[in-house]
Amino acid sequence: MASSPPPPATDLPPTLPASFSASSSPSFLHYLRNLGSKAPKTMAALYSSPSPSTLSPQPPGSFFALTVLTNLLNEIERCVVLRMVALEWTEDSGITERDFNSWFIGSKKDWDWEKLNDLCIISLNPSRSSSWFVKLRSPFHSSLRSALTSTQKHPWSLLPSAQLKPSPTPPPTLNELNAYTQNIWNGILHYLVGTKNTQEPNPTVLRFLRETGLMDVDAKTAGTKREKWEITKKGYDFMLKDVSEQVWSFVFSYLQTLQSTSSIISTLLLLTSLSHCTLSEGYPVSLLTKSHKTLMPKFKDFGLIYYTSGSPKFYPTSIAISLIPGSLSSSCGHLPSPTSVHSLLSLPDQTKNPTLNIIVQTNFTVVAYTSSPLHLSMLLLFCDKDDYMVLPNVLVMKLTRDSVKESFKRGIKCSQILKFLKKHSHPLIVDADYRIPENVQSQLHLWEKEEVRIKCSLAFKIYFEEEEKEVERDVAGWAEERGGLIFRGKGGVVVVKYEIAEGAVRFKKRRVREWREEEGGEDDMIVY
Amino acid sequence: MGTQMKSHNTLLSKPLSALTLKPDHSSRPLWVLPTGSILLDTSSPIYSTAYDFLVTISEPQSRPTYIHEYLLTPYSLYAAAAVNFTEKGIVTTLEKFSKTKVPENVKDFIKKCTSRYGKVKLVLRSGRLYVEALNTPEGVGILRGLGGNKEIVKCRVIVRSEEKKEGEEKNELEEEGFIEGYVDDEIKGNLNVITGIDDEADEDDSSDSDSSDEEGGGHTARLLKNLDQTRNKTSSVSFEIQPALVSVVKKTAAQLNYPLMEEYDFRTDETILSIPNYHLRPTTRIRRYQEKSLSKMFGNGRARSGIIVLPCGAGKTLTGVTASQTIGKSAVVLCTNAVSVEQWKQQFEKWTTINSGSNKDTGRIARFTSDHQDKMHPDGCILVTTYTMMTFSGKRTAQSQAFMEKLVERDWGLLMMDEVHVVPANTFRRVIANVKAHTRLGLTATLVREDDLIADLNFLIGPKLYEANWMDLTKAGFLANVQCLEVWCPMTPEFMREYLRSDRMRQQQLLYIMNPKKMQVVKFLLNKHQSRGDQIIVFSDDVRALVYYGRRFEGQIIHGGTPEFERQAVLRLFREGSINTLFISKVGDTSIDLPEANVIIQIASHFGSRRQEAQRLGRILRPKESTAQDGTNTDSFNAFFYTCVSKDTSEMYYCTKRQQYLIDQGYTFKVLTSLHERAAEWCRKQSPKAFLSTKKEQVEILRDVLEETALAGDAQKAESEEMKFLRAEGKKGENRNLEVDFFEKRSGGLSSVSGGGGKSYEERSAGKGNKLMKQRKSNKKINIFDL
Repeated sequence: MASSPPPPATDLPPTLPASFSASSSPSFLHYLRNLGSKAPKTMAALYSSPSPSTLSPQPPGSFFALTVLTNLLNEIERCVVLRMVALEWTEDSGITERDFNSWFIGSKKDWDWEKLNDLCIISLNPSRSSSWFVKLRSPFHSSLRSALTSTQKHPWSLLPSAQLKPSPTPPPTLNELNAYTQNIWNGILHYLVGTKNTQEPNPTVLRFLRETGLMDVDAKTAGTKREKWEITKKGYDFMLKDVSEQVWSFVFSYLQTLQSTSSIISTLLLLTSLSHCTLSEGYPVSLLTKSHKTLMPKFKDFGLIYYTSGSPKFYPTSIAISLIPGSLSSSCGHLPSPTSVHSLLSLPDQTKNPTLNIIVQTNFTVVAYTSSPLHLSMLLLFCDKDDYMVLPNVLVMKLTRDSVKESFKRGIKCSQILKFLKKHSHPLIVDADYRIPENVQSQLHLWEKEEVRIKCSLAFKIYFEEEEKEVERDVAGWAEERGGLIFRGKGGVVVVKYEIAEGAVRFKKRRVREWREEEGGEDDMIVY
Repeated sequence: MGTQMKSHNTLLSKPLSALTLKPDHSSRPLWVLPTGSILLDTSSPIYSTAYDFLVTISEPQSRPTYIHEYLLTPYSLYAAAAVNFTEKGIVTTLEKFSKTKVPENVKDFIKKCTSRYGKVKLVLRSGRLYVEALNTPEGVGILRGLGGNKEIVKCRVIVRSEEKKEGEEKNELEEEGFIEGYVDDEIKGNLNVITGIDDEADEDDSSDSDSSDEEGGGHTARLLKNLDQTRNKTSSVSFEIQPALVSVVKKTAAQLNYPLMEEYDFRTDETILSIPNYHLRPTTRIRRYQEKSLSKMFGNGRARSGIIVLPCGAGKTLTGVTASQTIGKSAVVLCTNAVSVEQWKQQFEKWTTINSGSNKDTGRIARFTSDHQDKMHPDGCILVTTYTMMTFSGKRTAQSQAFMEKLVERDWGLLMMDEVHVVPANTFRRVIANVKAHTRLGLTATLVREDDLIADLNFLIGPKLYEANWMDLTKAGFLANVQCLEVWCPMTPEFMREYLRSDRMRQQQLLYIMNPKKMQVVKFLLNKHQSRGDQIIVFSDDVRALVYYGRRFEGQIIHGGTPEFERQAVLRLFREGSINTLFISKVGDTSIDLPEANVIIQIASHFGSRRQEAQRLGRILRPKESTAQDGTNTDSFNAFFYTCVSKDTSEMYYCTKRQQYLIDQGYTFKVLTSLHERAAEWCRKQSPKAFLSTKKEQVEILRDVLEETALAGDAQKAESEEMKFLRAEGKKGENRNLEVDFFEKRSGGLSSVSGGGGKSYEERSAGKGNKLMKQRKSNKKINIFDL
């Protein structure tokens, strides 16, 4: 399929779009590919838009092009694109089909026409000599070229401190920066899991939590003045994710709310620019464009940047830098995985960013090495609330039938609980065959099964008159033949499956008519 | 006795984060909580040392693979005091091991419990009784207090000053009638843990014994050497009391909050003759944990009374035999039934030279059961008997009466009680009153009782001296690695209907035991394991069902009513491997040693008895030939423990409850929810005839069950309901006249079907059904099924 030539007349690649990965949070790529009608304009603008920095001469949009190159393309695509950048061609020529195909050995299974088209990287053109030729689109081409040839490392110039007005606060250390992000997220998660006495997060976040369905009003308090918000199944899913994924879903939802193309462009540019920053480096606020300056408070709420009011510099946090992995150097050879982001966040300082290591024992005890109240709240979502111990460095809790069932009622699934426990399982047992004892796993599954022992399905009840005994028997027989007889009572009641109800009633009518023709009588059918 | 800090093992939800974590906490293995709970991290490099310490001072609550939970109780501290652990030693060691600072209230609790325990001892030396304390100002003070008590004064033997040899230098203590003496120090191994783990030599010692776990021979020698070596002595002070009034002294001392710890100085005792030529055979090897438990018993060169807890199959008998041999005096061994009397005798002969060599003709082991009443050797001998024989209150035969009188007359060096957990406290009181024994040793695998009477044992026998960890022994290959499986068998619709209708427990029970799906599963499992060449025990508490199953599957049956000779014969056949399946009632729960058995199928059990579950598991715990002893034993299972439960009945509830003790020992139960489907499928394919696969066959069983239980029933109504149902079922099925059948069959009931009619049955079970039955059929001979 992949090697068959695309129809030359059209701009669209021949193959159907590859289905998007059904992962829980849509990726950056997914977002870009689903801009719909805004796509061509947005992408073109992103590639050609001027760099955030205004002080030094810079190729337009180069950082965005780099981000695309390093983050969104697979190895083959990257290789092909880089090769095409190096080649020169005129406005109406490109790589011919034959040449292009010769670059591949065997099938082009890792080459996705649709994706590269969506990202406005390549265009397919009909050619006179051969069937088609392919070339890079101009904004991307020029942007990437200058990016590759540029020596600039930072999206914003690092002005010497002397050129800026003095900062009222000393620059944050790496640990402070990490703790800052962690704090913001812990605050959000605390609120999400309903830890007592937590402050409400700021309105942006609050709105996000509610609008995205991560929390819902507790049915009991709905409508009252003091509405209580509770975590939903979706929220629980959210909680189980890595911090980087959580931040991304916040950012993703924020992007979804944006309507105008220009605001999308400016947000995306800021995000990609941040991803090219260096951790613990301060960047001058003064270099930000006006639109970016307005975005700053939101990014601060999400824990992406750190700055104190009045400070001349802002500091991107590690999560912002790794959110959309961007710099070429970091992604040479391999792309950072989301887990490495997580470890980045949790490694630097054990005391400030407590890790959660859980041992689940065969007697249903959950021993969690942590001192974080957040972890306590998380675990209490499915562990026994009345029977646990909080020690300075460890929590000892129990999984009981009641506690687990209560969490099922909230919509949390057994698989989610297991996933959470597995994800945080203690390094001591990670290598073992099982991270959670088999008996605990199967017991959780059994408890979940208990919830669904009764299946409800629609049924239809047909009543018969005293003298309609024969008809009743026939109808029951008719339904039984079709496997739809559920119950036949003594007092002239036949219950059939809903699917065959119509047929059964029709059959009854016919039989009644026949029977009446024989005996003479009155049609008196009650159908409920 | 000081108030217990916490009655249950539940974890408290108090915020305990106020505890301060020590900076080097990661190298310490314990958390000590203000509730008296102690958590032990088993991944710690000093786990083994910490375990030995904890098991001495506290009660294990739960011991799964990673984090153990222990609880400090007055009894456990009493036991620690008994092996000469001092308050200071306990607190400093606890502090040394603890990740957190030991809470003050825990320290206070330890102080409170140990300040009085173990300070005063009742010592039996050369046939005379002394109340002894250490010769320290504190010890002397306590002794003065006790000795001056007006009750105790009456009991004291007054030592006249002229009896003293060197009267010229009388000191104050002698004036008061106190005697100065010496007591051996506790052997080093026992106190290692509280004297200093930093001591390099000790570390070497422990690692040495770790590595040579399998080679017990050396340890035996070492243990004995330890006992014989001249050791450091500590000065002690004591006063003598009259043996006849010992109970008054004990009671008074307990009232004064100084319970007397009983010790027997057997090495100096001349009053009881030693058994000549009584040695362990050179081939006898003692394992490390057995040695450890014995070293607790003989810690200071004297014999202490107490209880040793070892899992079934871990060699309790050998431990008992060695204890008896170490003391070397006459001993009484009490077991639960005649079968285990035989086994004890065999074990004595197997491990020691007691009945060989010069003793060959005389016979130093005497059995005292209803069947065997061997001649008791007039000098030192071992007497093996059952609790029932000892406490029988009815009229005995002349021979038995004479035997009993001789027994009561004599003094015994040791009273050994097997399976102490099964015997009610008043039985103990009578036994202990009857047997004049200088040391009492209780042996058990499961120190749990549903009625919490364990506390009584503490004062009737003595503190718990040692408790082994099941999982550690399994890992080391001393126990078989058992896969515990719970097989869910749904009730057939007919059985479920009757189960829900029934308001009589007996009937409900029989319904879920005789559930055809369960029978299919049993059939399937039997076939599967028989074809593997396994030795299978099928357990049922309900004798009717047991017999029914046994007949149906053509297996040998043993229950309370089986005559002794038949039992022995069947057991022998099973041990030889001539038969591979044994159907046994609760008489097989304890003591019957079937080393080759490796599969248990449990079809009915005694409600929620945790102890029974553990005991039954114990039947297959003895290591098999395939059991690896190199620490890899947990990799694969070599024994199987199936419990068949009927789904949606109260059996499920009891089943969960029963498993608790084993779960606390680190066992896991795997639930098989769909095995019954495979079993049903397999049963359908059986040739020449499918097994219980037609509704007709299943309804027949139901009818048998209903008829059987209807006899015991009081409600006429229930009967007619059942009949109505049966008639309906009959019409639906085979169109035959069940009504006639029903009335014809009534006289026989299940017993005629199973062929067990006419046999008498001894086991008793309390319950309403029983009573009703007796009322109704009081004029008839009690039928085997009329439980």
